[in-house]
Amino acid sequence: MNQQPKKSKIIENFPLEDKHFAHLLESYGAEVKRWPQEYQIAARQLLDSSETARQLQQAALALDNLLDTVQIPPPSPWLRQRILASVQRTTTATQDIWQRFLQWIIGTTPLEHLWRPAVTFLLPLVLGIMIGFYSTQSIYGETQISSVTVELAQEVSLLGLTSSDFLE
Amino acid sequence: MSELSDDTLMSLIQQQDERAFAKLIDRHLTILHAFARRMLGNTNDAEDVVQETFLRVWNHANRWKPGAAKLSTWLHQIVHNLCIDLRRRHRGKTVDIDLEEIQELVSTTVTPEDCLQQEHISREVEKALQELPERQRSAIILCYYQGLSNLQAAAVLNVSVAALESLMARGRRTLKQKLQTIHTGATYEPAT
Repeated sequence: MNQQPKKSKIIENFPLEDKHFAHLLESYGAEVKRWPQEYQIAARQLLDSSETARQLQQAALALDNLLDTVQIPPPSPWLRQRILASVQRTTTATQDIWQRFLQWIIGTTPLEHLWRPAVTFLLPLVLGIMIGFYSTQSIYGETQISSVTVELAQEVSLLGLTSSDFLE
Repeated sequence: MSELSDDTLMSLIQQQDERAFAKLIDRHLTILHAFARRMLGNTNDAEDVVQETFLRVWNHANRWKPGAAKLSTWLHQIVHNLCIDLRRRHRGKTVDIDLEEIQELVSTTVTPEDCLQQEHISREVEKALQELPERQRSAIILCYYQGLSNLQAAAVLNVSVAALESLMARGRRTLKQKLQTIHTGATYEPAT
């Protein structure tokens, strides 16, 4: 999440220059109550005393009035229900997976109460033993293969010598 | 439950309290919907965005750190990011403004001519807003329509307050130019 920008110091009573006033009008619009709090008192003081400021405010008010013509209808009454239903679906779906898994492990019949937990605990053990067994076998196998390969190479080399001798 | 602060509600939501979540929805739904609707110009998309926002709040409630920022700032930030993503995905397509809604909203006006005039103005203003550069539009909507303080709006957009003011000033200047004919009081004459 983004951090809030650093808060500006609230200065409640200071003169606002025309140029700054015009910039604030351009940014926030004609209604002073929409302005940052720290400028509101100064803006009202300037509006009370300056005809130019009042004219600038009137010009900005025209655009505000146009912006205010865009009204937004309220959300449909079903939206709230839709949101709540979608959240319940998510929660139920997550719960379902775990509940089904647990239900399967526990089983529903007396026989299942015995063999399913046993399978659940024994399966990883058996798998571990099998993996261990095969990995040992493959190392042993590789040793065997390498000794066979050496023998074969020797035979081939002998044959090669013989054949080269024969060719010569 | 109704008097609980946003921070308290969020700490209850972190414990998957659905009643606290419903309360949070009641408190922020309308304002967030208005924000998304103004950002996107379309009710259906706005409702999808708001739904996704609340779903994220529920699923990622643990990311909320009380005291780091106001909850409304965080919520606006989520809606804003989702709206920007959606607009980028729809880039190149025309902006779909709900004209029927505008007609319904201005139908309280007395005469049909006034109603038509009002409808035209509202449509033009909304169109001009939608055509503003992304960040200028966001800045104006956050501060002017949503009533966020300059500090909150700057936090949502991840800019300084000075940059926010500059975005709003440029946005308002552009709007003034685009809406010149309406701005100067020219009346709308429908094509016959």
